[in-house]
Amino acid sequence: MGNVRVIDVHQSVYAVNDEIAAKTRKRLKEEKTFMINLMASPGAGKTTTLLKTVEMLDGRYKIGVMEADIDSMVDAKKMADAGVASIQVHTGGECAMDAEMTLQAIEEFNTAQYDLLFLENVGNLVCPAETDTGASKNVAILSYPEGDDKPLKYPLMFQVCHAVLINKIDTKEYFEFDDEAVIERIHNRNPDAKIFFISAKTGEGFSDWIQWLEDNINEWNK
Amino acid sequence: MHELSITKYVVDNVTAKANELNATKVCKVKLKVGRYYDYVPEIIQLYFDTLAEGTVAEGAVIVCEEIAGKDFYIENMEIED
Repeated sequence: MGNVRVIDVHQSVYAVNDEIAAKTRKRLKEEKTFMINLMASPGAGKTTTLLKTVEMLDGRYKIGVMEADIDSMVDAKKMADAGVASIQVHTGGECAMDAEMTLQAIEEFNTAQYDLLFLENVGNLVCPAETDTGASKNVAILSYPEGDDKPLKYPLMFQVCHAVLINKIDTKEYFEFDDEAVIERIHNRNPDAKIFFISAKTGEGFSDWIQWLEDNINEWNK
Repeated sequence: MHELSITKYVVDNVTAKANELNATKVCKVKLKVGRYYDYVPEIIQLYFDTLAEGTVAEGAVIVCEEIAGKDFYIENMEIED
């Protein structure tokens, strides 16, 4: 048996990922591509919100969508059917996109041609919040049917987000969702988070969200 | 299941470091785990056992120490020369 010794490592497990993410952000800025990492649980309305957002932006930006899922082509097909440029990314069992996978998708998709790039992350409120993808901003969607307690149960997701979209407000009469409570719970974790109440189905509440997007795109390209 | 990717990072970093030092075996890996992530130490060990199979880190024991906040890092590792 050999000599046993203890080696100090002190290395952050996320260090490699964060380094790649920082490089990606720098590159996106140079290429004037504003990238949103869109996160939510399955069924919160990520794809529908994206389609409505593209519709509301009315051709003012060249938009690309990277659809990340463990498997299937369902979301990329929906985007293609709506005439939106998209690429389907498979995470191969991973529950979220990391910076390396995102960078591969960016290269494959040749994203420099887009002004606005969405990464629709894997549907999940846990893993995507833990890993920096290199996006310009993080946005989460929470929908009425999921309940107003989610910021308490999944605090990290709401902490890493720059904006939160509360979706499906057209279903208000069917769910006991407390708007004031959810705002307070999100702001307790993240006082700077912008919160928008929307319905991706009807388009209600989209003007403020669209304005936020445009302001941030302008800021990014300065 | 969110322990899978971070365990991959641990295995990659630990094996790289051990190979660099010409270690014959990694006996123990000590991790500092931010409370924020809600990682389950037993699951990290389970993934580690599978991912480290056939590497210098095969069979290493993972010790997780919970710390406050968002940090997550490899504190140290015990190797055999």
